[in-house]
Amino acid sequence: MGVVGTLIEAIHILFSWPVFGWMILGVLLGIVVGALPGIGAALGMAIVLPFTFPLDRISALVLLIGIYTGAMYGGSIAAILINTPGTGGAAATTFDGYPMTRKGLATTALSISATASAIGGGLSLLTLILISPLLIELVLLFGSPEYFLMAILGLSMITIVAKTSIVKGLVAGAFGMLLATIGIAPSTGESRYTFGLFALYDGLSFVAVLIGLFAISEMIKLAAEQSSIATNDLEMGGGITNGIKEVFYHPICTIKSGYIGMAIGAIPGAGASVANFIAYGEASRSSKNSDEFGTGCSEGVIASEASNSGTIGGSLIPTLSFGIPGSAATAVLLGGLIMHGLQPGPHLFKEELHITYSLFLAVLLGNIIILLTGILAITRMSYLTRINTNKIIPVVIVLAFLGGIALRTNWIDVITVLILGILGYYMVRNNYSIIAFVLGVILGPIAEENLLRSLQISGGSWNIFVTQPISFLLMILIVVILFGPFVKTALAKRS
Amino acid sequence: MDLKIPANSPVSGTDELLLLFLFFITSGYMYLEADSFDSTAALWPQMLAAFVLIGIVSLLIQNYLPEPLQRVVAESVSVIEVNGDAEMKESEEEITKNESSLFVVLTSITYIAVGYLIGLVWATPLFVAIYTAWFQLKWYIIIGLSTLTFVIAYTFMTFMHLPLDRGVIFGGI
Repeated sequence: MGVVGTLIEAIHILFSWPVFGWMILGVLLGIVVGALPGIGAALGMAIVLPFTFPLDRISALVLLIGIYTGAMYGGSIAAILINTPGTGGAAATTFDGYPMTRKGLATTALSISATASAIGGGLSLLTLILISPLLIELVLLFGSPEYFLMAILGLSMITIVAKTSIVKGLVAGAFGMLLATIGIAPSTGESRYTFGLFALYDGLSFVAVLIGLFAISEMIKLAAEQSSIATNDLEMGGGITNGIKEVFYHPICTIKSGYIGMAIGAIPGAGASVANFIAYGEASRSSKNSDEFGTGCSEGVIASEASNSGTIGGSLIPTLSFGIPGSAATAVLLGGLIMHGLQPGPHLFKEELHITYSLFLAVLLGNIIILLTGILAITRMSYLTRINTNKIIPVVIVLAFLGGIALRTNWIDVITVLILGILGYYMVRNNYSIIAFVLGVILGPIAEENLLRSLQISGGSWNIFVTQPISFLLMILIVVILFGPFVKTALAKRS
Repeated sequence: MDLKIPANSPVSGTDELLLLFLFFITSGYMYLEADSFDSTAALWPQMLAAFVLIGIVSLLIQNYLPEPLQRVVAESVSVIEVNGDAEMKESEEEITKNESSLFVVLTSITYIAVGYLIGLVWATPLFVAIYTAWFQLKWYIIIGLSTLTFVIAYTFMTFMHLPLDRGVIFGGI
């Protein structure tokens, strides 16, 4: 079946029941979790993940993608109304979104956000669908040595995108990989670090790890923070159609920001929280009204929102092609894929292409739902900002632990959620990247399997990682990424 | 070895020393334990454990390293220059240690411990009631949330066939 035929099949799947219902539910849930400061896409998806077990895999993945898509828009609601971004991807939205609210244009700002998110996200996905045949060809060129090096490359990129000591980032990532060695060794079937406990033979559940790191540690952090929840009714001035028109009056800004988001989203670990600042900065630089940025300029909101939704398409590229998550949320999505028996790589672009296209189309359709929901429910959005986080935190913690026990009816998973949650909190507190840690846990088994297979192929010789052209290139990239910034600084100091 | 933290070390505070100690002990144990595995099964964990151990030691002694190495260990590099804190969500802002976070940690540990003893479905409303009371929410919110979470736990027990009403003390698990 060709690409077009598979796309048509994917459309049939997406519009069938209950898949369509799960998608709508996912988007609406995503908008809510995105709007609640401190919650966000990754946490929302991590909590829901164990409860997708009874669903068929397409419904489960469409639900998760829906939450991801909805949260990218939802983060703008609190950003615009109370100057507190619901997600990291909406941080730059506060710069002009909140001033618009103060000018009595909250409805206009929310309408701009919904429209720009829909267009940015939609463009990114359409582009992804168009380039997917090229992606397939690229993925097929990769063998075991290349997959091993891609895992190391992914981890290396996290450490330089994150603002932390490079050694701290690598230690966090390597420690995550080390924990992933608990259980049965892939090559020999020998049990490692199980202490004779049958429950540990399958190793630590990476879903439990995700829940602990993204749910429990975030709730501990949220409990410690001063939350800027609105206590009074907000004045929702401005107009919906004015907001929609503003986006269409700035097509270059919208399209450019969407593609900036897509490009940044494809870099592992970068994600929406980086993309929205870069897109905002670029919009400010290139605008004829750059003086108005920061005072309630619609282009500022457009740039931030189009880019953060644009990251969705970009982040799916490394996730589906190589199993390297482009963001925290796609790390959870990857967990969902693996949990439902799907392996990232060529398989997803050949035998399971209809599932892959269903996911792409779910994001596309999700953006339309966001537009409709955003526009229809704009005047009621302020309610979300009045929810006290102390009502949400205990419920999320309960759901996290119930999710842990639901995975394998195994108290080891509950303890994993608890310990990793506390560990994750203290790691964040001391500037150790938990996304590097999560990546380590997810990539560790992939890296080990491909390392051992490569060494088997080469008869134990490590030259296999430098003698093939693509693997040699990847090695160079890893070295450049890790040491390049230091060499550049040293050369600059000398000159 | 002098464990006094140097002034410009990337390692700061008791928290971080404890974290590094945990990493050190875990990695050290896993490295040594891997000697009892088949060589193929031991390769990857030993490589990783050695890497973590070297990383930890370099963080602790970074002030005594030659300048080029010190720069590699201590400095943050980000190829994406942004305004404000554009990091991933985990370092959006500085997290300050206070009673609330410690309270959540301790109550979560107690919740799991009590749940293991008597069953999660019974421990859940207790945890939520204690949590919401500590944060001084209104009485009807406390009762409402405790009831809601009890219903959620009970629903999961029923529909997902989870043994949440049993613990070590009651019901035997």
